[in-house]
Amino acid sequence: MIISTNHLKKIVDLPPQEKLVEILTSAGLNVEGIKDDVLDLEITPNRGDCLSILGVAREIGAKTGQKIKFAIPSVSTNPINKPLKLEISSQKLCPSYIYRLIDNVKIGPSPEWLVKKLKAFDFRPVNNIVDITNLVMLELGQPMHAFDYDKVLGQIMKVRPTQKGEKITTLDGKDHNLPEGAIIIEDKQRIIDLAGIMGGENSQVSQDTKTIILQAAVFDPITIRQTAKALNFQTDASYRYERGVDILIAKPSLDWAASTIGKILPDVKIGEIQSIALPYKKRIIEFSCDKINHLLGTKYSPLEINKALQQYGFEINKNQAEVPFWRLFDIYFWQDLAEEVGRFYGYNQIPKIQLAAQDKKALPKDYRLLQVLTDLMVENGFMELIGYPLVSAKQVDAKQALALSNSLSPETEYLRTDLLASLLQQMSRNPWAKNIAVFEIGHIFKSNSEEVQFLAIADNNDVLDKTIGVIKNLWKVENINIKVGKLDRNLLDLYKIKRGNLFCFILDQQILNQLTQKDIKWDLKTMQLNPYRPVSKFPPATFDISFVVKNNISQDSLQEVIEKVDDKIFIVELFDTFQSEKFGKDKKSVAYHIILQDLKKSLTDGEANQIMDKARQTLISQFQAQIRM
Amino acid sequence: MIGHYHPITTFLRKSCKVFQDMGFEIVQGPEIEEEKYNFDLLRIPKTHPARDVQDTFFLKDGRVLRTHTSPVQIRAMETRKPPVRIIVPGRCYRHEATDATHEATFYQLEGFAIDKNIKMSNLIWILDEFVKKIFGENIKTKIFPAYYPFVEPGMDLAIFYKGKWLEILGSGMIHPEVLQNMGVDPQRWQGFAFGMGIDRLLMILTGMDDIRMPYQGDFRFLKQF
Repeated sequence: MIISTNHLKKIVDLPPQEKLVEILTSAGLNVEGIKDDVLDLEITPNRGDCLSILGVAREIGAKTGQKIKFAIPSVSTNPINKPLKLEISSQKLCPSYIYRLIDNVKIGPSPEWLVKKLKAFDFRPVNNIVDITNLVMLELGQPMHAFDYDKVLGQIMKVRPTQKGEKITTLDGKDHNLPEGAIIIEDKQRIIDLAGIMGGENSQVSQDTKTIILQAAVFDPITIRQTAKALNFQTDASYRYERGVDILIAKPSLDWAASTIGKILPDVKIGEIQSIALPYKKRIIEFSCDKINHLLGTKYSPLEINKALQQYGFEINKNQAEVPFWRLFDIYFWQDLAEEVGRFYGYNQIPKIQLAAQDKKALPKDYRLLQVLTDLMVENGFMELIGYPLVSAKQVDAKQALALSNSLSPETEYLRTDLLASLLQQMSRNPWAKNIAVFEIGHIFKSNSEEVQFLAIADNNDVLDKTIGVIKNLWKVENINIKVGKLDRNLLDLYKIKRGNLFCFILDQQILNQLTQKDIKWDLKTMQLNPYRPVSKFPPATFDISFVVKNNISQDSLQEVIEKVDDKIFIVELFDTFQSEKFGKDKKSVAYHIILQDLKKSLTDGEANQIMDKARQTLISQFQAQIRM
Repeated sequence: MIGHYHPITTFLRKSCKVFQDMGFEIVQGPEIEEEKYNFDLLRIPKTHPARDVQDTFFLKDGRVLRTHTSPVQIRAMETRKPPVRIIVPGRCYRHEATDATHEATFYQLEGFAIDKNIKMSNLIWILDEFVKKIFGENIKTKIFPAYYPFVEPGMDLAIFYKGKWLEILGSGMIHPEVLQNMGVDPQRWQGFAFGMGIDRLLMILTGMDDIRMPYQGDFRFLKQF
């Protein structure tokens, strides 16, 4: 919600902006943005009471020990001799309907001061009456509506739920087919209001309106929400009603609106307030200071606890707290009171207390198995991928697949039935890659099951065979049936993967279940994450370089030197090293994959070759390397 | 060839290890969830605006893709009795259009503890410990009130990182009605719960500029970690 501090400071003294932001944040009203005197506040769904100037001022007042300076002038009323009958079919749907007539109105543009105030809230001015109802909602939180009295046929208003097939045209000109059970107001013949959401076109105030019915009602939050959702039609009024509008703000709102109208249009006649409303029921919560301290971990005295609650408007009587009328949608339990105490003194005042040490618990079997398997794959040179579980119809086994009923696009309508879908999708993004050895562990979903699957893919079936050997050996399951298969050409075509030879093996849940427990040692030091370096949106060039150097030259120093040859050298990875007599004593052969990229364009072969030549020259001059390739 | 762990895996392992050292047990749950566990038992009824905050993917059979790891709080307690300390790493889903800071699928790490004397002070301490282990001993943190229907009081934590305050996790004391839904007597037991989005934390920690990168499979991204 956006709110102007100029407006706010008329009813509560404000500290300097930085302090104000701190106060609001510590109260749970997060400041999402500041532009000049306008604050953008994030109001959580439980705090409907803060969707107004008054509500925000109350929070600031509580924290700074101020009373709100908001006096509503008394309104002198006159009898208006115009009948109006009100019927409410269910007080559950409409617990309070309060209104008054105002006669002799003259619809026209609002004065400058009113337009300015509304614009600070991003509200478009309409006319003097509508603008005042909007202003009162923004100031006090009570959504209001003005009907043209002469357009209410038969001088009757019936508040009732809709039946099947009813319709309304709202005052923005939109037609709505109403869901069953929405709250509407009907006159003798027509539906004239979509209650709590928007007025009807047929009863709205217009240029020739003389008498208005000014409404300040409360409607059932759940019904308003259901209707707004069903129609996909949210308004400033419905937003507030969904979150709860307090029942006692209606009368002050009607007085505030009437007196403001009287200020702009001195000739109006203001009628008495009329109402059909359930009596106000106060809520009292029993609490104990010990329990509050025990929950928070604090040592506030009863005096301090009472003070905090009183500042927020609670009436305290021994161990009972009466909830202020504007907090009935949010405060039900003594734990809610604990939050108020915490909020008042500031969460940052709550001491940090160490959680008593406890013995380490073993990792659960399934989890540990997958961790051991992950380690094993990485140790054997595989790269772990994690793909999207949401895929298209083409990518799943149609017979077993589960579909979403509200997918974002046909590309993500189904849940994957195997990991091939997401793994191949990822691989297709790297047509430039020289060698492939990847794996993924993730959930797969079929109509009758959700299970974990493991999938490894490589462009070399020996690598996979070797890895299966390692798995069998580690878990001592020689007889287990794990097979390497070649990926089908049609399948690869689906993912536009051109390379020919790709092989895979899968461990399904059944196989995983046969692998027994293994211990795992986790070391925080090995769990480092490097800072990210941007990946170019242009394709990279790749090179292999292999050379013979002295044995005592470390991999690290070789790698570092190559990396520094040119800033287009992005990744340098060792893929082979061995010693052989033919290189001579104390010598080794080393081979690197090198990935080059340019953040601004595709690299030409010429550019790439130049960089690699430079790399070779550098290796020769610095390490007396003999280039093999 | 040199193998690589996926950065999400590394982050989750590191986080799990920190909590494991403090006596937490790891529990996991299904990614397809019943509405009852994902919402209702966590005090997020259909009729409440809080449900909008977690826009949801529905399956044709009425089940949902879990929008958070919190349903595992309820599931875990179906077979356990307090005192407990549990963490839940896992994948979650939100029905929202993706862009550089929004992803329809992400990882969460949930944690909760229930005991006779677990206090909000302990929650604040443990989160502080965790953040220090991940971002370094000198990291500055602040906490402030927040609203989640399944906790009371509710609390958010922000860290001061590279010149900015960043909200990184939500938490609070488990709501008495949620304790009841777990079959735990709120008169005798109390507990805390917290949840954090791993992808966003990874973004902050590594400086990656697009939250979708971890699942797009670009080898140039993955080979960096």
